[in-house]
Amino acid sequence: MRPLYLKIQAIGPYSKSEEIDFSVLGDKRLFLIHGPTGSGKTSILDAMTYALYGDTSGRDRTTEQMRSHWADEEIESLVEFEFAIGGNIYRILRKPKQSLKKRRGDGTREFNAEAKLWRIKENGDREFMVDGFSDVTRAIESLLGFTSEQFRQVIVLPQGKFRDLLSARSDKREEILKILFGTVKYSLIQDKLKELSAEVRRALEDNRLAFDNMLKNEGCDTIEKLILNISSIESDIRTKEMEFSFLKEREKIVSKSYNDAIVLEKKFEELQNAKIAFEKLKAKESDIKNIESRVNILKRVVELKDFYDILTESRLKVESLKKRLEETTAAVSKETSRFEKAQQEKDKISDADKKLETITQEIIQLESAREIITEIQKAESIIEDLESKYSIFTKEEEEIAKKQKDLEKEEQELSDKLRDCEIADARLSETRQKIAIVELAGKKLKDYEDKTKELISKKESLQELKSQKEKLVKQYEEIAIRRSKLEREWLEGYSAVVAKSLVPGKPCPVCGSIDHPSPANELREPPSDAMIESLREEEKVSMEKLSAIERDIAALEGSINEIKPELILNDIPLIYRDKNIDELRDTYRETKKTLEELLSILNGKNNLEIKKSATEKSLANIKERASEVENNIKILDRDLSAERRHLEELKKRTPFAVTLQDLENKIKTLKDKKERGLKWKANVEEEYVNAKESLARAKLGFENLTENYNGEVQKSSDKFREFQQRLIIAGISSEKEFEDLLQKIDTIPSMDKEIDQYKQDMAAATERLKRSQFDVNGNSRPDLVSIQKEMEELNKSLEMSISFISSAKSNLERLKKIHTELLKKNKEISDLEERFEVIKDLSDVANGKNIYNITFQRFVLQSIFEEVLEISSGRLERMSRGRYRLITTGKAENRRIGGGLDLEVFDEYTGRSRSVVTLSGGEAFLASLSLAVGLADLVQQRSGGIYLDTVFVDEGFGSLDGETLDLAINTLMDVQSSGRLVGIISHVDELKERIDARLEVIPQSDGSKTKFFV
Amino acid sequence: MRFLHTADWHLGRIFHGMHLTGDQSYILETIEEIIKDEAIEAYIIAGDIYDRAVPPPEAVELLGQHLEIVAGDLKIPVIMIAGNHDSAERLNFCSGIMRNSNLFIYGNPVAKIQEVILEDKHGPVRFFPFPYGDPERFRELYEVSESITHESAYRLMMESLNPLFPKKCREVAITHAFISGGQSSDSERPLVIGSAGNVSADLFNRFNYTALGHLHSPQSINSTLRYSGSIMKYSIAEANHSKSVSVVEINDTGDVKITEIPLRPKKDLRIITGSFKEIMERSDSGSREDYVVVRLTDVLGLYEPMNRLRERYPNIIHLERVNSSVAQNSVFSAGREKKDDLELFLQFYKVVTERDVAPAAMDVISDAIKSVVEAEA
Repeated sequence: MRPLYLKIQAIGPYSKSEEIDFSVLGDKRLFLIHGPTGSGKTSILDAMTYALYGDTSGRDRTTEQMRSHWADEEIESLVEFEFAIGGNIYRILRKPKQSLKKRRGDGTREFNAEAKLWRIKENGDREFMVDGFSDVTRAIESLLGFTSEQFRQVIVLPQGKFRDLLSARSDKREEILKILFGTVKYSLIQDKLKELSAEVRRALEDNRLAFDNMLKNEGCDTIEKLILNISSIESDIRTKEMEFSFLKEREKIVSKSYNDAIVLEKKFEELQNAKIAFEKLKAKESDIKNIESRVNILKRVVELKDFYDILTESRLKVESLKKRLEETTAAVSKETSRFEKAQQEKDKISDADKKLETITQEIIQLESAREIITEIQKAESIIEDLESKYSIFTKEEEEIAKKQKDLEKEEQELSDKLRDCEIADARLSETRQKIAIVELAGKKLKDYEDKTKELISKKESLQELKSQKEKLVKQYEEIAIRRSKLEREWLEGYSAVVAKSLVPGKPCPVCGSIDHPSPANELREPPSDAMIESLREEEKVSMEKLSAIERDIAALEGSINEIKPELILNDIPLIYRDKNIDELRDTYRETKKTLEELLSILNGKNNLEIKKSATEKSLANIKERASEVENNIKILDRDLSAERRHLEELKKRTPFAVTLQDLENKIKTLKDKKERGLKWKANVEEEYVNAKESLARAKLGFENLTENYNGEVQKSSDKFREFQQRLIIAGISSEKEFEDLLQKIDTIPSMDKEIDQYKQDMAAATERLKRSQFDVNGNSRPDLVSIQKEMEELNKSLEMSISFISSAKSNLERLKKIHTELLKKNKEISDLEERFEVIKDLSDVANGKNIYNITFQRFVLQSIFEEVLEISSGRLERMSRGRYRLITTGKAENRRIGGGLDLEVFDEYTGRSRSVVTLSGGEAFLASLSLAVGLADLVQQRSGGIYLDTVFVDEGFGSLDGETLDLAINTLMDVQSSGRLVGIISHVDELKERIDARLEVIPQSDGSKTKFFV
Repeated sequence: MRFLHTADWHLGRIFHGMHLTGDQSYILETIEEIIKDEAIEAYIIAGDIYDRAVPPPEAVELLGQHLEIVAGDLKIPVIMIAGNHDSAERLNFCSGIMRNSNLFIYGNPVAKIQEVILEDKHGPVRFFPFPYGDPERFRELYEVSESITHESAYRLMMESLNPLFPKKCREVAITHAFISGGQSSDSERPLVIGSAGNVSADLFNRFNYTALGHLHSPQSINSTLRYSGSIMKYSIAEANHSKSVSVVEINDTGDVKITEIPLRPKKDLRIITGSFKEIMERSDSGSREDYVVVRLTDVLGLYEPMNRLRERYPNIIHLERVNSSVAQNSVFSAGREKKDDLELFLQFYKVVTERDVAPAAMDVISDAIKSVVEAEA
């Protein structure tokens, strides 16, 4: 698919109509689409994809978002794209669903999406092919061989998206490959095999079930049992059949004698009947003789009938001729009078002619007068028309003036209001500030109060602590006194003990002196060590308590010193420092209210501005209209005066003042008269001629008729004489008798028949009697009853035998049939089992139960994938100077039914392969590019009818350093040297230096423009 | 007069991920020494100063320092033209003012060729700069309507010279182009995509010497047309070149004598071939710091060859496998030719079960395939 021409209107950043003519490239096959970010480069590809398929290149942009937001309501969004496939050129026009300004009236109207496809013939004519949004898409899919999914993977490598194929998980990749290479049919084959396998299994089960059921119905578990049943039935049948044949013999004999008896009995009966019949007939003989004689007379009448008819006919003729004669006479006299009248009228004609001439002259005069009057009327009506238009315009003029004044007043009001807004705006910030300050003051004041309270309470606790301390001091002192007293006692006690052991002259154990001037003598027991110890403990405890309390006091005093509420007061702004909380609150509320008022004023500002501009616009419109109207009035004036002049002239030419209608009427009347006169004349002449003719005819008729009548009368009387003679011969007395008899002649046949019948019957009865007498000859009547009884008994037993045998036979038949069926079923089952084995094997293998756990479709996909990788890997190797290759992962045995299309990158530098996500941005770009190009190469190879002679690469070059950029461009030049057109979209400036053919996309304030630099 | 002819510096080039600015700085210092030692009177740089239109700041700094030393300290006139890698406009910055300081920079081609006149003891020598331009540029300059190639552009330029400069004194041309007969390598960017953009050598017959830039291997097209070659090896294919600058002496009659002065870089570019074991163990006469390209002859797979080689050669830039057998881990290659569906299935079956399809199953599978294909159609 090679693009030739693209027109983008009101789509994306192209707010007006932008045309791109690719033929400017000439035979340059590598070109750059360059422009700053957001200028509309990808939109060009979007437009192309949209034109072809009705959706966009990256899935991020939906078709609703396609219409340009800068576009005028009146410009419709559309894409027109002309391209070549193979040797044919096609053109597509596609428009999205959009709202545009209505052609008549205000507001917008929704237009539906539409699309059309044409083929362009060699002479440049358009040949319409398809229309309809999805029909065109389908036509394109079949022309190009791709769906839009594939197109996006293979022809347009969209921004950031073709990395998908590289880093996708293997099931995602599987989806893409499936679509591109159409391997769905292999999975259908898998399914079909599975279906077949299930079918066969079902059939097998059904058959087995049927087999078992058939056996069960016969109460057998096995087919052998059935065979046993069959043979037992057969032997029963044989026994019964022998019985049957014996009975049958006997029956034959008995039935023979029975039959003989019946025959004889019948003969006797017959004799009886014949006698009765004969007597009956004999009685009727005399009646029959009467009938015979009557019949003879009637037959004679019949002979005379014809002649009688002729006579009657002749009489009738005479009557009719007489009547006609009378009629004809009357007719002749009528015709004579008619002729005389016609003659009279003919004489009046010449007077009438003279009158007609005068009328014709008058008519001509009146017609010329009519023309002039018609013209006058026309002119008058035009003048009326113009006058009414004139008054309408004058009225409109007045209205417009009034409206204009109103609008001007409104404009003034709006400007005043807007000024108010500005004032409000100015005050806004200061009001806000005030609010903030008040809030701060309030908070600080509260803090101060809290802190003051705290201070007081702490001072109180300090007092308490101090009094506690005094108590403890007293306690401690008391204990100390006790303790020292006790210690003294102890000392004195032990000193006394020691003193007891003092020997003068021997050293004191305490101080070593030899002299002992006054030894201690204490009599009391010294207190125990324990007591002293316990007192010491008490003292220690008391001391501890004391020091604890002193610590607390010190701490409390310290914290008291820290609290300085007056410091907080310093944070409060001066104006509020000596206010209290409530006053502050009031101030706060007031200020807040002011703020809200200001805000509401400002809200209205927007609306006011809109209204003002609207008012200005209407004012301008009105002024325009006013001048229009004035113009129209002038024109009308001019026309009106012209018409009036014309009317004057016409009026001068009329000969007399009379209305058109009267004139018309007069003319009409005269014309009618003339016509009537002419018609009368013609009628009279015609009548004269006719009357003469008919009179002559009537006279002739009368003569002929008189002749006929006389002849017929003579004939009639001759015939009558002959008839009377014949009657006498036949023995009929009068004509009247003849007529009576004539009525009855139709009874003849029935009477004849009766006579014959009687004769026949008589003969038969006589014969019958003779015969039956002969038959009976010599025999006596038999005894039927007893024979009958014997017969019946025999028959009964025969019947029973027969029925038993037949039912047994039918059962046997049935069982035999079942047996054959079972055998057949058995064979079927074993055939099915064989077939099932085969199919199940195929289905299992195809669906993944095999050594490698791989389905058929996946196998094909994998081999395709490996081919793709081979081609892509070659490119990548070249681009990376031999460092990287693309390979499939994993050992064959480890593949699960799900995985298998994973790929990795083999790095020569490390001698190992690793995941593709470890590649840097630029390296990944190269890998993706080589993968995409490899894919495209393979799709083209395999699919034949798919033309991949164009590739677009959208961005990705920005992440490459100088060297890699060179390599990437070399790859693209490679691609382009195989005959493909390669388009690169990038904002990278360096590419501008490298690639000489470029399409520059220039963003402007009202949309983008494009320009080719070649 | 003795002048130094060099070209194709490609300052700021990134070579296999390494910034070469340090090495380039070393080489430029060497050239400064040569200028001092050889009593050079003029310095000609025939294009491709920078590697890219927008060079990295270190490269710009390096150029500035070098030119300050040569034109400022040593006071040698420098004539510099833009090549196809440079952005002519950027290179041309303040060129008008720099003329007063011995720096003659020519970015874009102009219709009226400007010359630089330098004097030696025999008289004036004219230097004509023809900086590189896209053929389209020449179409605008000379107002030509039909399509233009590099060849026809040069023809136009030479024709415009004739009326302006009738030949009387010694003339030297400086230009950046692909002259027919030159030997190119991987590192030169093609001037025209598709063809080479050749220019024929006889267009330059009038000049006593033509200093050429663009091809990286030092070579003489004929006795008066010469490529000085690049100052460093910039691609693996150049590994066998020896880099140099050309010192040209032109006498009073206009005859030229060319001397090549080799340039030795701090780190050379070498190709080392051998098995991994050999390379790691054998002694190497060259420096370990060199930019090394390793071609491994091993047949089997290796573990982390790059990292391990880097232990010995820390500046290794690339490695290749010469004999490696691509690991065949595809059991499933279905063959290149397009098979029909039945054949595919038979092959699939054979591979995944290691037996053939039973004859009884053949019509089952071919019927199944047929019915699916018909349903699809």
